[in-house]
Amino acid sequence: MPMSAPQGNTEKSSHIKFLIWGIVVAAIVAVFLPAPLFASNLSFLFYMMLWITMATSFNFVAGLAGYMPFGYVAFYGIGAYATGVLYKTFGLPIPVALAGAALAGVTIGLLVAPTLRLKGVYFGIVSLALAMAMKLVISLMPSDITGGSLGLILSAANDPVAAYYAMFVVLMGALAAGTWLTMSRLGTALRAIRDDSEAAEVVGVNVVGTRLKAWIMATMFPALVGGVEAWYTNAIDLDSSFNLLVTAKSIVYAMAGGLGFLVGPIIGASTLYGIDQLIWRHFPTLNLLILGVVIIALMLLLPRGIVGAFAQRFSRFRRFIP
Amino acid sequence: MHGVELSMENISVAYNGDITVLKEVALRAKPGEVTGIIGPNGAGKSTVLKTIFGLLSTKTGTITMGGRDITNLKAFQRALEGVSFVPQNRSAFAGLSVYDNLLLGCWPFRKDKARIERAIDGIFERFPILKEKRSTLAGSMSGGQQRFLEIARALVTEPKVILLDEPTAMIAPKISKDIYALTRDLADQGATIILVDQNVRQCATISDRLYILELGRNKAEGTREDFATDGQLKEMVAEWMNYKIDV
Repeated sequence: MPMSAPQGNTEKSSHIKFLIWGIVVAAIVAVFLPAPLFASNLSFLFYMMLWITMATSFNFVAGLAGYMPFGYVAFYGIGAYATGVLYKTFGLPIPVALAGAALAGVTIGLLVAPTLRLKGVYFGIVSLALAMAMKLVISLMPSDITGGSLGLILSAANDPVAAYYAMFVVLMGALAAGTWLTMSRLGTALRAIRDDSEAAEVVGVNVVGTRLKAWIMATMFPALVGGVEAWYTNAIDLDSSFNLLVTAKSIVYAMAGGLGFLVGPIIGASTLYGIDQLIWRHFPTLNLLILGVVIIALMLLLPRGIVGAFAQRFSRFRRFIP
Repeated sequence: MHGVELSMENISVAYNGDITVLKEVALRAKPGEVTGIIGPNGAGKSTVLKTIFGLLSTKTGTITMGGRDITNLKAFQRALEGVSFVPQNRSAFAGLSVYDNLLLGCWPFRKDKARIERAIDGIFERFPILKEKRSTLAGSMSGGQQRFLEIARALVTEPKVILLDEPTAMIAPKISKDIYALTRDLADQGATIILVDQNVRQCATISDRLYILELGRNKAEGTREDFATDGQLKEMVAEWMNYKIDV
């Protein structure tokens, strides 16, 4: 049976979208993969990958499933501590410790999954409480396991280049998960749920199960990021691991690029993190103030983010934007 | 269309556990018939449909479809079993094209590409206007066209039971007439249809069997003929709903 015209159009735009996405991923690989061979500032690239991953995984839950977890840092902190404890206290190799971090993030995500039935700000507040509770739980654990107020030092694992490549792998994993979540049937279901969950249910979409898949992805990657960053810096402490600025930056970077688009968090994180570092270099004392002004201006001028504004201005190209 | 019998026995539903909105409601819908549910505002008509579809859970009672107990199935599982629901509120995905809306309607058999093509072609045959507007965004269509799209999306799965909640609310009279004609036509082809409607006249005209609900309870039931010939039933509808049902 011949394909009908609109299906043909849909398939064509899907192919173009996929091609554009392939070019974006290839560009990311080309920039980050060989960087340790010649880059003088590896740390800048490491943290850019970190923020792209955080913003991308935040997009899974906020842009695709329509939730706003204000306590997103909880999973980052859990990942950092799981890695540190498994490596330092239990003597497991770093790759195993990182796998444990991912598992810990997903496990906590599954334990709080029933809160996915909450909507809007209520879910956000519960996730914020989760971050505070996790910090408290870790602080109450025996200090010979978690290092107490001094935290954990992983100097024996020091290998910045290996940690850099671990972050690269995590970034690639997040991009692959993003591809799966947005370009598959699952992505169609997620968008349907985000737009109208009851209507999605009416067409037979398993709303709870579909949201859960996005949620699991959204909890696994920050846990891995937290673990890899702990390896990179060789230091873990409660205040840095559960710093709400991690959530704030994930939200701002993802929103600045454009929630709901795969390329949004990449553009948002790389642009704003770049600006952040530039300001830091030239105005170290006014860094946060100037960055705040830049973010306010961006939100006022481009409330849908850079990619969202482009899609709105050139709506005929919207279907080609991954 | 191959409808199956759907029945509700002793169904009670409560919001937040204690605000009971349906009390021991019973209903039976047969294949090839339109089963109409009428009643004043707040009678629980839409709640009955939401309960049948699984959007609300029951406190007591059972729902069976073709003899199979579906009371504990979730909404998406009931959709897979062949129940289709057209809710009262707009449910077309405004940001998607007509074609993509229909494609989403094929979700229960999303992996069967050949069946999807067959099903959508069948819909385009039945609804030429949708074929014409297949690339149009649903949100840019008129209310009536969106309603047809919602009904078409419900039909794309070739459902066994079709639940229609106020399908003509806020729809122009001419389009409403077409929707009622389509409803009747679907039943004549064998579908089991349960229709909730504020328009008592139209609902009574196309329904084979009618249920009247009041304050979440069964008030009366009967065939169209019963309501037209039984003095008590006839008077109840005439006085209470300001409409006289004739055969």
